[in-house]
Amino acid sequence: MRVELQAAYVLHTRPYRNTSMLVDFLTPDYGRVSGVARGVRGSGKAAKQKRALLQPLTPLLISFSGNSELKSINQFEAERIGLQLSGKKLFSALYLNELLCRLLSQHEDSEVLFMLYQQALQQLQDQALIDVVLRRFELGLLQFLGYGLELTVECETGEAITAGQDYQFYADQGFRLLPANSKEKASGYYFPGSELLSLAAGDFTPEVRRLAKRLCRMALGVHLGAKPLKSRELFS
Amino acid sequence: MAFSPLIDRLVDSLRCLPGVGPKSAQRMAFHLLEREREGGLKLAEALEQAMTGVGRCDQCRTLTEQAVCFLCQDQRRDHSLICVVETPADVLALEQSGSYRGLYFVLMGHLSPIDGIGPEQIGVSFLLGRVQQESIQEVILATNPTVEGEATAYYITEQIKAQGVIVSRIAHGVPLGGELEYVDVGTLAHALSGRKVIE
Repeated sequence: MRVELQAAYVLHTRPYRNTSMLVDFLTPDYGRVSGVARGVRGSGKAAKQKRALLQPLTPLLISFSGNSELKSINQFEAERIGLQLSGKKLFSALYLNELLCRLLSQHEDSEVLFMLYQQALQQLQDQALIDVVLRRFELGLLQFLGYGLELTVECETGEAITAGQDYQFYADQGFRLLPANSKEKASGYYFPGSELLSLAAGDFTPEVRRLAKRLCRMALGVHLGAKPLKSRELFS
Repeated sequence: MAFSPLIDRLVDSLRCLPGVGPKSAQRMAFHLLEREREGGLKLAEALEQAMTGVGRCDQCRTLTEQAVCFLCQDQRRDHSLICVVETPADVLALEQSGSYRGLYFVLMGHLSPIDGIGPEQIGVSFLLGRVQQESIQEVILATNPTVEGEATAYYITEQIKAQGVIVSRIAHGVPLGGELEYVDVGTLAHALSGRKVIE
Protein backbone atom coordinates (compact mmCIF):
# COMPACT_ATOMS: atom_id res chain seq x y z
CA MET A 1 0.00 0.00 0.00
CA ARG A 2 1.26 3.43 -0.91
CA VAL A 3 -0.36 6.68 0.11
CA GLU A 4 0.78 10.08 -1.10
CA LEU A 5 0.30 13.44 0.55
CA GLN A 6 -2.27 12.52 3.13
CA ALA A 7 -3.20 15.34 5.52
CA ALA A 8 -2.09 14.45 9.05
CA TYR A 9 -1.47 15.66 12.57
CA VAL A 10 1.15 14.13 14.83
CA LEU A 11 -0.48 12.64 17.93
CA HIS A 12 2.57 11.16 19.56
CA THR A 13 6.24 10.42 18.89
CA ARG A 14 8.78 8.29 20.63
CA PRO A 15 12.43 7.61 19.86
CA TYR A 16 13.21 4.42 18.00
CA ARG A 17 16.65 2.98 17.26
CA ASN A 18 19.38 5.51 16.67
CA THR A 19 17.99 8.11 14.37
CA SER A 20 14.36 7.09 13.88
CA MET A 21 11.11 7.85 15.58
CA LEU A 22 7.86 5.95 15.93
CA VAL A 23 5.09 8.38 15.13
CA ASP A 24 1.32 8.17 15.52
CA PHE A 25 -0.60 10.35 13.11
CA LEU A 26 -4.26 11.24 12.78
CA THR A 27 -5.33 11.19 9.13
CA PRO A 28 -8.69 11.73 7.41
CA ASP A 29 -8.73 8.53 5.30
CA TYR A 30 -6.80 6.01 7.41
CA GLY A 31 -7.62 6.88 10.99
CA ARG A 32 -4.64 6.53 13.27
CA VAL A 33 -1.51 5.71 11.29
CA SER A 34 1.59 4.44 13.11
CA GLY A 35 4.86 4.56 11.28
CA VAL A 36 8.60 4.80 11.41
CA ALA A 37 10.14 8.09 10.35
CA ARG A 38 13.82 7.56 9.56
CA GLY A 39 16.70 9.96 9.89
CA VAL A 40 14.86 12.42 12.09
CA ARG A 41 17.07 12.33 15.17
CA GLY A 42 20.66 13.22 15.65
CA SER A 43 22.69 16.36 15.26
CA GLY A 44 22.70 16.67 11.47
CA LYS A 45 21.04 19.69 9.94
CA ALA A 46 18.61 17.64 7.87
CA ALA A 47 17.56 15.60 10.90
CA LYS A 48 16.97 18.72 12.94
CA GLN A 49 14.82 20.30 10.26
CA LYS A 50 12.76 17.17 9.84
CA ARG A 51 12.31 16.78 13.54
CA ALA A 52 11.08 20.35 13.90
CA LEU A 53 8.24 19.41 11.56
CA LEU A 54 7.25 16.26 13.43
CA GLN A 55 5.65 18.16 16.29
CA PRO A 56 2.08 17.81 17.44
CA LEU A 57 -0.36 20.55 16.33
CA THR A 58 1.36 21.10 12.98
CA PRO A 59 -0.77 20.36 9.90
CA LEU A 60 1.34 18.02 7.76
CA LEU A 61 1.12 16.24 4.46
CA ILE A 62 2.61 12.77 4.77
CA SER A 63 3.41 9.98 2.32
CA PHE A 64 3.66 6.47 3.69
CA SER A 65 3.85 2.90 2.47
CA GLY A 66 3.84 -0.61 3.82
CA ASN A 67 1.42 -3.45 4.37
CA SER A 68 1.90 -4.12 8.04
CA GLU A 69 0.46 -2.15 10.96
CA LEU A 70 3.66 -0.13 11.16
CA LYS A 71 4.06 2.00 8.05
CA SER A 72 7.15 3.52 6.59
CA ILE A 73 6.86 7.29 6.61
CA ASN A 74 8.58 8.24 3.38
CA GLN A 75 8.01 11.94 3.29
CA PHE A 76 6.38 14.70 5.19
CA GLU A 77 6.04 18.41 4.76
CA ALA A 78 4.22 21.16 6.59
CA GLU A 79 0.94 22.17 5.03
CA ARG A 80 0.71 25.38 7.01
CA ILE A 81 2.57 26.82 9.95
CA GLY A 82 1.74 25.01 13.18
CA LEU A 83 -0.66 26.36 15.76
CA GLN A 84 0.90 28.34 18.59
CA LEU A 85 -1.02 27.23 21.65
CA SER A 86 0.20 27.95 25.12
CA GLY A 87 -0.77 27.22 28.68
CA LYS A 88 -4.10 25.58 29.38
CA LYS A 89 -4.87 25.50 25.67
CA LEU A 90 -1.73 23.50 25.03
CA PHE A 91 -2.65 21.08 27.82
CA SER A 92 -6.09 20.75 26.23
CA ALA A 93 -4.56 19.89 22.90
CA LEU A 94 -2.37 17.26 24.60
CA TYR A 95 -5.52 15.92 26.22
CA LEU A 96 -7.20 15.56 22.81
CA ASN A 97 -4.13 13.73 21.54
CA GLU A 98 -4.14 11.35 24.48
CA LEU A 99 -7.84 10.64 23.99
CA LEU A 100 -7.29 9.85 20.32
CA CYS A 101 -4.27 7.65 21.00
CA ARG A 102 -6.25 5.66 23.53
CA LEU A 103 -9.55 5.32 21.71
CA LEU A 104 -8.97 5.44 17.98
CA SER A 105 -8.14 2.30 16.03
CA GLN A 106 -6.12 2.10 12.86
CA HIS A 107 -7.38 2.00 9.28
CA GLU A 108 -10.66 3.69 9.66
CA ASP A 109 -12.26 6.27 7.45
CA SER A 110 -12.16 9.16 9.85
CA GLU A 111 -12.76 12.23 7.76
CA VAL A 112 -15.43 13.46 10.20
CA LEU A 113 -13.13 13.02 13.16
CA PHE A 114 -10.24 14.72 11.42
CA MET A 115 -12.43 17.74 10.72
CA LEU A 116 -13.62 17.71 14.30
CA TYR A 117 -10.04 17.64 15.58
CA GLN A 118 -8.94 20.41 13.28
CA GLN A 119 -11.91 22.50 14.31
CA ALA A 120 -11.22 21.92 17.99
CA LEU A 121 -7.59 23.05 17.62
CA GLN A 122 -8.64 26.11 15.68
CA GLN A 123 -11.22 27.01 18.32
CA LEU A 124 -8.65 26.58 21.07
CA GLN A 125 -6.46 29.00 19.19
CA ASP A 126 -9.33 31.46 18.72
CA GLN A 127 -9.95 32.11 22.39
CA ALA A 128 -13.13 30.06 22.71
CA LEU A 129 -14.11 28.65 26.09
CA ILE A 130 -11.77 25.73 26.51
CA ASP A 131 -14.18 23.36 28.22
CA VAL A 132 -16.89 23.89 25.59
CA VAL A 133 -14.40 23.05 22.85
CA LEU A 134 -13.35 19.89 24.72
CA ARG A 135 -16.95 18.80 25.36
CA ARG A 136 -17.92 19.27 21.73
CA PHE A 137 -14.94 17.18 20.71
CA GLU A 138 -15.67 14.47 23.28
CA LEU A 139 -19.31 14.19 22.24
CA GLY A 140 -18.26 14.10 18.58
CA LEU A 141 -15.62 11.46 19.33
CA LEU A 142 -18.16 9.25 21.14
CA GLN A 143 -20.52 9.63 18.19
CA PHE A 144 -17.74 8.70 15.79
CA LEU A 145 -16.79 5.63 17.80
CA GLY A 146 -20.41 4.48 17.70
CA TYR A 147 -21.14 5.26 21.35
CA GLY A 148 -22.96 8.53 20.68
CA LEU A 149 -25.12 9.77 23.54
CA GLU A 150 -28.87 9.97 22.98
CA LEU A 151 -29.54 13.21 24.80
CA THR A 152 -33.21 13.44 23.90
CA VAL A 153 -34.54 9.89 24.35
CA GLU A 154 -35.20 7.90 27.50
CA CYS A 155 -33.50 4.53 26.98
CA GLU A 156 -36.07 2.20 28.59
CA THR A 157 -39.32 3.50 27.20
CA GLY A 158 -38.07 5.32 24.13
CA GLU A 159 -40.00 8.41 25.14
CA ALA A 160 -38.64 11.90 24.68
CA ILE A 161 -36.70 13.42 27.55
CA THR A 162 -38.73 16.23 29.10
CA ALA A 163 -37.50 19.38 30.78
CA GLY A 164 -39.29 18.89 34.08
CA GLN A 165 -37.93 15.40 34.88
CA ASP A 166 -34.64 14.15 36.23
CA TYR A 167 -32.62 11.31 34.72
CA GLN A 168 -29.87 8.95 35.64
CA PHE A 169 -27.10 8.03 33.22
CA TYR A 170 -25.93 4.49 32.51
CA ALA A 171 -22.83 4.59 30.36
CA ASP A 172 -23.65 1.49 28.32
CA GLN A 173 -27.38 2.22 27.94
CA GLY A 174 -28.35 5.86 28.15
CA PHE A 175 -30.62 8.00 30.28
CA ARG A 176 -33.23 6.46 32.53
CA LEU A 177 -36.04 8.37 34.17
CA LEU A 178 -35.51 8.86 37.90
CA PRO A 179 -38.63 8.46 40.05
CA ALA A 180 -39.33 11.60 42.05
CA ASN A 181 -38.80 10.01 45.47
CA SER A 182 -35.80 7.75 44.82
CA LYS A 183 -32.75 7.89 47.06
CA GLU A 184 -30.38 8.95 44.26
CA LYS A 185 -32.31 12.17 44.15
CA ALA A 186 -31.04 13.07 47.58
CA SER A 187 -27.42 12.43 46.60
CA GLY A 188 -27.64 14.94 43.76
CA TYR A 189 -26.31 12.32 41.41
CA TYR A 190 -28.62 12.84 38.47
CA PHE A 191 -29.09 14.89 35.32
CA PRO A 192 -32.00 17.36 34.97
CA GLY A 193 -33.91 16.92 31.71
CA SER A 194 -33.90 20.63 30.92
CA GLU A 195 -30.09 20.77 30.94
CA LEU A 196 -29.80 17.63 28.82
CA LEU A 197 -32.04 19.24 26.24
CA SER A 198 -29.93 22.41 26.28
CA LEU A 199 -26.81 20.30 25.77
CA ALA A 200 -28.48 18.51 22.85
CA ALA A 201 -29.27 21.90 21.35
CA GLY A 202 -25.66 23.01 21.84
CA ASP A 203 -26.60 25.71 24.32
CA PHE A 204 -23.69 25.77 26.78
CA THR A 205 -24.85 27.72 29.82
CA PRO A 206 -22.67 27.50 32.97
CA GLU A 207 -24.90 24.76 34.45
CA VAL A 208 -24.87 22.81 31.21
CA ARG A 209 -21.05 23.06 31.05
CA ARG A 210 -20.74 21.51 34.49
CA LEU A 211 -23.21 18.79 33.62
CA ALA A 212 -21.51 18.08 30.28
CA LYS A 213 -18.15 17.63 32.01
CA ARG A 214 -19.58 15.10 34.46
CA LEU A 215 -21.46 13.33 31.68
CA CYS A 216 -18.47 13.09 29.31
CA ARG A 217 -16.26 11.75 32.08
CA MET A 218 -18.74 8.99 32.81
CA ALA A 219 -19.31 8.18 29.14
CA LEU A 220 -15.61 8.13 28.24
CA GLY A 221 -14.60 6.36 31.44
CA VAL A 222 -16.21 3.13 30.29
CA HIS A 223 -14.10 3.05 27.15
CA LEU A 224 -10.87 4.23 28.72
CA GLY A 225 -10.83 1.41 31.25
CA ALA A 226 -8.99 1.46 34.55
CA LYS A 227 -5.95 3.44 33.42
CA PRO A 228 -6.59 7.14 34.04
CA LEU A 229 -5.81 9.84 31.50
CA LYS A 230 -2.49 11.37 32.47
CA SER A 231 -3.14 14.75 30.89
CA ARG A 232 -5.92 15.43 33.37
CA GLU A 233 -3.24 15.79 36.06
CA LEU A 234 -1.94 18.88 34.29
CA PHE A 235 -5.13 20.79 34.93
CA SER A 236 -5.13 20.32 38.67
CA MET B 1 26.83 -19.28 13.60
CA ALA B 2 26.95 -19.78 17.33
CA PHE B 3 30.05 -19.29 19.44
CA SER B 4 30.80 -20.70 22.84
CA PRO B 5 28.32 -19.60 25.55
CA LEU B 6 30.59 -16.96 27.08
CA ILE B 7 31.24 -15.23 23.77
CA ASP B 8 27.55 -15.43 22.88
CA ARG B 9 26.69 -13.78 26.13
CA LEU B 10 29.19 -11.01 25.57
CA VAL B 11 27.86 -10.31 22.08
CA ASP B 12 24.29 -10.29 23.35
CA SER B 13 25.14 -7.96 26.21
CA LEU B 14 26.91 -5.48 23.95
CA ARG B 15 23.74 -5.08 21.96
CA CYS B 16 22.12 -3.09 24.75
CA LEU B 17 24.24 -0.12 23.66
CA PRO B 18 22.56 2.38 21.33
CA GLY B 19 23.45 1.88 17.68
CA VAL B 20 24.94 -1.55 18.19
CA GLY B 21 23.37 -4.33 16.17
CA PRO B 22 24.37 -8.01 16.02
CA LYS B 23 27.21 -7.44 13.56
CA SER B 24 28.88 -4.56 15.40
CA ALA B 25 28.42 -6.34 18.72
CA GLN B 26 30.28 -9.30 17.30
CA ARG B 27 33.07 -7.10 16.00
CA MET B 28 33.42 -5.37 19.36
CA ALA B 29 33.49 -8.68 21.24
CA PHE B 30 36.21 -10.10 19.02
CA HIS B 31 38.22 -6.92 19.14
CA LEU B 32 38.21 -7.02 22.93
CA LEU B 33 39.04 -10.72 23.07
CA GLU B 34 41.74 -10.70 20.41
CA ARG B 35 43.52 -7.40 20.97
CA GLU B 36 42.27 -5.48 23.95
CA ARG B 37 42.05 -7.81 26.93
CA GLU B 38 43.34 -5.17 29.29
CA GLY B 39 40.99 -2.51 27.98
CA GLY B 40 38.14 -4.97 28.22
CA LEU B 41 38.83 -5.65 31.87
CA LYS B 42 39.06 -1.94 32.56
CA LEU B 43 35.75 -1.44 30.79
CA ALA B 44 34.14 -4.22 32.81
CA GLU B 45 35.37 -2.74 36.05
CA ALA B 46 34.33 0.82 35.16
CA LEU B 47 30.92 -0.41 34.03
CA GLU B 48 30.37 -2.37 37.19
CA GLN B 49 31.37 0.52 39.43
CA ALA B 50 29.34 3.09 37.51
CA MET B 51 26.25 0.91 37.33
CA THR B 52 26.19 0.23 41.05
CA GLY B 53 27.66 3.53 42.23
CA VAL B 54 26.02 6.28 40.19
CA GLY B 55 22.73 7.60 41.48
CA ARG B 56 20.93 10.91 41.54
CA CYS B 57 22.09 14.14 43.17
CA ASP B 58 19.91 14.91 46.18
CA GLN B 59 19.51 18.50 45.08
CA CYS B 60 19.46 18.74 41.30
CA ARG B 61 18.62 15.13 40.42
CA THR B 62 21.43 14.85 37.87
CA LEU B 63 23.46 11.64 37.61
CA THR B 64 26.33 11.44 40.09
CA GLU B 65 27.97 9.02 42.51
CA GLN B 66 28.07 11.65 45.24
CA ALA B 67 25.11 12.44 47.46
CA VAL B 68 25.27 16.04 46.25
CA CYS B 69 26.95 16.68 42.89
CA PHE B 70 29.97 18.96 42.56
CA LEU B 71 27.97 21.66 40.77
CA CYS B 72 25.55 21.94 43.67
CA GLN B 73 28.41 21.92 46.20
CA ASP B 74 30.38 24.67 44.47
CA GLN B 75 30.08 27.74 46.70
CA ARG B 76 31.36 30.07 43.98
CA ARG B 77 28.24 29.46 41.94
CA ASP B 78 25.21 31.70 42.27
CA HIS B 79 22.84 29.87 44.60
CA SER B 80 19.93 32.20 43.93
CA LEU B 81 19.59 31.08 40.29
CA ILE B 82 18.25 27.71 39.25
CA CYS B 83 18.08 26.45 35.68
CA VAL B 84 15.58 23.69 34.86
CA VAL B 85 16.67 21.29 32.09
CA GLU B 86 15.39 17.98 30.73
CA THR B 87 18.50 15.77 30.81
CA PRO B 88 22.02 15.59 32.29
CA ALA B 89 23.33 16.10 28.75
CA ASP B 90 21.63 19.51 28.76
CA VAL B 91 23.55 20.43 31.91
CA LEU B 92 26.77 19.60 30.13
CA ALA B 93 25.78 21.65 27.08
CA LEU B 94 24.98 24.68 29.23
CA GLU B 95 28.20 24.26 31.19
CA GLN B 96 30.18 24.23 27.97
CA SER B 97 28.56 27.50 26.92
CA GLY B 98 30.39 28.95 29.93
CA SER B 99 27.84 31.70 30.44
CA TYR B 100 25.85 30.29 33.30
CA ARG B 101 27.03 30.26 36.91
CA GLY B 102 23.92 29.20 38.79
CA LEU B 103 22.47 25.89 39.91
CA TYR B 104 20.60 23.29 37.91
CA PHE B 105 17.57 21.11 38.26
CA VAL B 106 17.30 18.07 35.99
CA LEU B 107 13.78 16.82 35.24
CA MET B 108 14.97 13.60 33.58
CA GLY B 109 12.37 13.98 30.85
CA HIS B 110 9.39 16.15 30.02
CA LEU B 111 5.65 15.99 30.56
CA SER B 112 4.25 13.45 28.16
CA PRO B 113 0.79 12.25 29.17
CA ILE B 114 0.57 9.53 26.52
CA ASP B 115 3.77 7.95 27.85
CA GLY B 116 2.40 8.17 31.37
CA ILE B 117 4.82 10.88 32.44
CA GLY B 118 3.07 13.44 34.62
CA PRO B 119 4.26 16.18 37.00
CA GLU B 120 5.16 13.67 39.71
CA GLN B 121 7.48 11.64 37.46
CA ILE B 122 9.59 14.66 36.54
CA GLY B 123 9.89 15.81 40.16
CA VAL B 124 8.00 19.11 39.98
CA SER B 125 6.95 18.95 43.63
CA PHE B 126 10.59 18.47 44.64
CA LEU B 127 11.57 21.52 42.61
CA LEU B 128 8.81 23.53 44.29
CA GLY B 129 10.09 22.44 47.67
CA ARG B 130 13.56 23.70 46.81
CA VAL B 131 12.27 27.03 45.56
CA GLN B 132 10.32 27.46 48.79
CA GLN B 133 13.08 26.50 51.17
CA GLU B 134 16.15 28.01 49.55
CA SER B 135 16.57 31.67 48.75
CA ILE B 136 16.02 31.24 45.02
CA GLN B 137 15.33 34.46 43.16
CA GLU B 138 14.98 33.30 39.59
CA VAL B 139 14.03 30.04 37.92
CA ILE B 140 15.22 29.74 34.32
CA LEU B 141 13.27 27.23 32.25
CA ALA B 142 15.53 25.64 29.66
CA THR B 143 13.32 22.77 28.52
CA ASN B 144 13.44 21.96 24.81
CA PRO B 145 11.39 24.10 22.42
CA THR B 146 9.10 21.18 21.53
CA VAL B 147 5.41 20.93 22.25
CA GLU B 148 6.06 18.77 25.32
CA GLY B 149 8.91 21.01 26.45
CA GLU B 150 6.65 24.07 26.24
CA ALA B 151 3.91 22.29 28.15
CA THR B 152 6.43 21.38 30.84
CA ALA B 153 7.69 24.96 31.04
CA TYR B 154 4.17 26.32 31.36
CA TYR B 155 3.20 23.83 34.03
CA ILE B 156 6.23 24.69 36.15
CA THR B 157 5.63 28.41 35.62
CA GLU B 158 2.08 28.10 36.92
CA GLN B 159 3.25 26.26 40.01
CA ILE B 160 6.12 28.63 40.85
CA LYS B 161 4.58 32.00 39.99
CA ALA B 162 2.46 31.96 43.12
CA GLN B 163 5.62 32.06 45.24
CA GLY B 164 6.82 35.43 44.00
CA VAL B 165 9.90 34.10 42.25
CA ILE B 166 10.93 35.38 38.82
CA VAL B 167 10.40 32.70 36.17
CA SER B 168 12.12 33.13 32.81
CA ARG B 169 12.26 31.07 29.64
CA ILE B 170 15.33 30.76 27.41
CA ALA B 171 14.97 32.59 24.10
CA HIS B 172 14.30 30.86 20.78
CA GLY B 173 15.95 32.33 17.77
CA VAL B 174 18.20 32.25 14.77
CA PRO B 175 21.41 30.28 15.33
CA LEU B 176 24.72 32.17 15.34
CA GLY B 177 26.19 32.29 11.87
CA GLY B 178 22.85 31.18 10.44
CA GLU B 179 21.07 32.67 7.48
CA LEU B 180 17.48 33.81 7.76
CA GLU B 181 16.65 32.28 4.43
CA TYR B 182 17.28 28.77 5.76
CA VAL B 183 15.71 29.11 9.18
CA ASP B 184 12.38 27.30 9.55
CA VAL B 185 9.25 29.43 9.80
CA GLY B 186 8.40 28.43 13.37
CA THR B 187 11.79 29.57 14.68
CA LEU B 188 11.57 32.80 12.71
CA ALA B 189 8.13 33.53 14.13
CA HIS B 190 9.49 32.98 17.65
CA ALA B 191 12.57 35.07 16.94
CA LEU B 192 10.40 37.93 15.77
CA SER B 193 7.92 37.81 18.62
CA GLY B 194 10.78 37.61 21.13
CA ARG B 195 12.79 40.50 19.62
CA LYS B 196 14.76 42.84 21.84
CA VAL B 197 15.11 46.59 21.91
CA ILE B 198 18.73 47.53 21.15
CA GLU B 199 20.23 49.45 24.02
